[in-house]
Amino acid sequence: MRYKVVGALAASTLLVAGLAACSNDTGSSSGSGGSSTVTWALLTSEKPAADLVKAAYEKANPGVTINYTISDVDNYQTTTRTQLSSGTAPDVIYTWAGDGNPMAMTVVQKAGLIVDLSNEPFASKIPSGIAPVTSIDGKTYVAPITFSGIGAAYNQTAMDAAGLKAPTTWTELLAFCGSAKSMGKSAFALAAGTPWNTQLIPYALTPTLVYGPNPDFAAQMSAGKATFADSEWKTAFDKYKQMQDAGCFQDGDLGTSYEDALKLVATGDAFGSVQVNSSIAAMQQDAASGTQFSYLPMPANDDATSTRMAGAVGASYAVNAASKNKDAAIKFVDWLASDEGSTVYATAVAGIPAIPSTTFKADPLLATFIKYQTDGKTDPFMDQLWPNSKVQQVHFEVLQQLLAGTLSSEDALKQMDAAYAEGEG
Amino acid sequence: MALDRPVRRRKGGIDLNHRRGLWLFLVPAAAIYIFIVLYPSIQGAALSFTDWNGLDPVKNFIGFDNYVKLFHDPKALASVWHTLIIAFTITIVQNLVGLLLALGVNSKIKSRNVLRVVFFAPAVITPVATGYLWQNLLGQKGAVNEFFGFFGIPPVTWLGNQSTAIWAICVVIIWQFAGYSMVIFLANLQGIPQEVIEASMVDGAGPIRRFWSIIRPELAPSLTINLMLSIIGGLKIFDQVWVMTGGGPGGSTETMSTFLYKNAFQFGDFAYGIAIAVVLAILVGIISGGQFVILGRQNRGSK
Repeated sequence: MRYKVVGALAASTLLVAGLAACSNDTGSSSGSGGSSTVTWALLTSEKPAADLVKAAYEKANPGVTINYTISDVDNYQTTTRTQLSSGTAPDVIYTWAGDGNPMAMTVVQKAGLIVDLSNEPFASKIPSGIAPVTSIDGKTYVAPITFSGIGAAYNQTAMDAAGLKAPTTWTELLAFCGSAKSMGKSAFALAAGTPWNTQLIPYALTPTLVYGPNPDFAAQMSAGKATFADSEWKTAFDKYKQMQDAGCFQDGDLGTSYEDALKLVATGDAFGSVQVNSSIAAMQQDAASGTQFSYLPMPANDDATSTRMAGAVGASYAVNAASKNKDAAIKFVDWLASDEGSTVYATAVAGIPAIPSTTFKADPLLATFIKYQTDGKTDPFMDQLWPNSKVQQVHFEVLQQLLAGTLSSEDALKQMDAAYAEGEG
Repeated sequence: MALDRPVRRRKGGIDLNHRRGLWLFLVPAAAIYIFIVLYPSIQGAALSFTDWNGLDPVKNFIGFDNYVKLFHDPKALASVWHTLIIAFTITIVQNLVGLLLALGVNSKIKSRNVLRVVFFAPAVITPVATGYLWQNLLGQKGAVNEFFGFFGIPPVTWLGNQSTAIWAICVVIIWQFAGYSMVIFLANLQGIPQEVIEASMVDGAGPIRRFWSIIRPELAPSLTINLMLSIIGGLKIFDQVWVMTGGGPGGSTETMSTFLYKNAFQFGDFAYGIAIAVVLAILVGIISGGQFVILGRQNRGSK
């Protein structure tokens, strides 16, 4: 048996070495000559920023070329993980802040694959609210570029036409659902057919219900002193189901895809949808010109003053430890996190900079969200503090079952607790 | 005289050498196959006995733990069950539909060439593209529900309902590949001597009798190939499921392929993913091998 392990190890080492030798040298640099190429990997959602950032950086740094590759989340995670383990990943890589995702900072840092960025100028400017998800043991490993929120995006034009107002309390929300239904429309378009979209409503409700009243909840969970099932998460799940029972969502919510849900809001067939703020740009593209949108927090109880929002680091970047071009790569990341870079980036993706920038002018649409951020009324996306990526995947799956009526909220949360208890992985 | 020599060679003792020489032609292909398929596969399979997460440089040997876990994991067992449902449903229905289409376009109807192209066309499309296409067609406001709406049938959430999603996926796969089965059956049908069929007509055999006693036994070779291809395709189905439901809603369409992909690439449990892949490979081997033996016996019997 022992012989087998050694054999397997030797064989896989050979394979990895072979792959590394065969692969193209993507991160090459001519060194002293001053001209160099930095390779940069990012997600489809960041596409609007890619060309603008490339142009601005290359203009400011003659002789440097930025070569970027864009891929969808699933592909990105698969490919980049494989590249990292074989030493062929791009120089600058999109890395999710915190944990709870196969390409999250904690996961790749633990394998020693990303560079310590603590001494870079941006590191000291990271706001304390997001410092925990950008550093490990006091050392910074990712540069946070944008800050995103989860809230209710409304088609304001359709709301005004129908004489409806965005709800600010739970009671108002249920009444809003009733009014929308009586007009033959739905209050909220829900894309429960797209797994990651199922989580958005619990993520919008739990800041008010769980993390606001008990800011230590995540720490208590990781210390084994709290569970999902014995917390207000149960209230959040029950309210989610209550929304469905009250007819807040369109018919066939479980068969609706993300794109379809955005279209329902864009056309006014649904008045709103709980989404990440970057989705508004996509809604605007689908909507008739002149359609106004609004982006507001989602009420979770009847005390409007206690309402909080989920807000977290969106895009963040790490430097590949195996990069042959580390200095140029770090310099590029420094620029991305600077006032100038984050302004170009955040403006392009209709977001806001994670590190407040003096040169940035926000879209008025995001004013409420920015106020929540500056008032400290936001909580990180829940998965960023979960110990493994399985909890989130289980979350998607149990929510579909909850909405289909085949699983109780209690059993759903117990499954999440079981995945959480599997610990780091 | 010059022509005589090769003939004599074939009959003489040089024959053996000649055959042995033919093996040499296999070497390049076999070497490539061993290098890029067999060797990495065995290497990969060895990883299923470790706890590798796909990233860490460290791998620990954990014996059969991943396999033990698999047989105690209700989600893994459910995925095996869903895979078998899909594989057997499409094997039976796709070949039945394919055979009917083949018999239809093998007749003398005028538009048969056009119909052959039309029926085969879906097989040319990438499965991922068909997945997205049907995701739209089967949507709440999609063409399928609109069509049923004409007859007063209320819209059904085909892909969002735990009891209909798996069948909707089967229908899409059958829609796509029935034409493929048809082409194989058609090639076989066209090889059946016309005289035999005409003779049976003269003897007064009706269409059903003619199919059962004359055509059916002749179709054995194409049936073997079709069953084999569709069952293997069904067992390893991934694209359409991934695109249309991602294994949902609530895991009701999770197949072995989607489940192993999730474990390997989304849960960071690479070794467990590989263990599922090894079980899937064994399952495909057993089912297709068994089928080959049984049908092979039948083929010999029917001749």
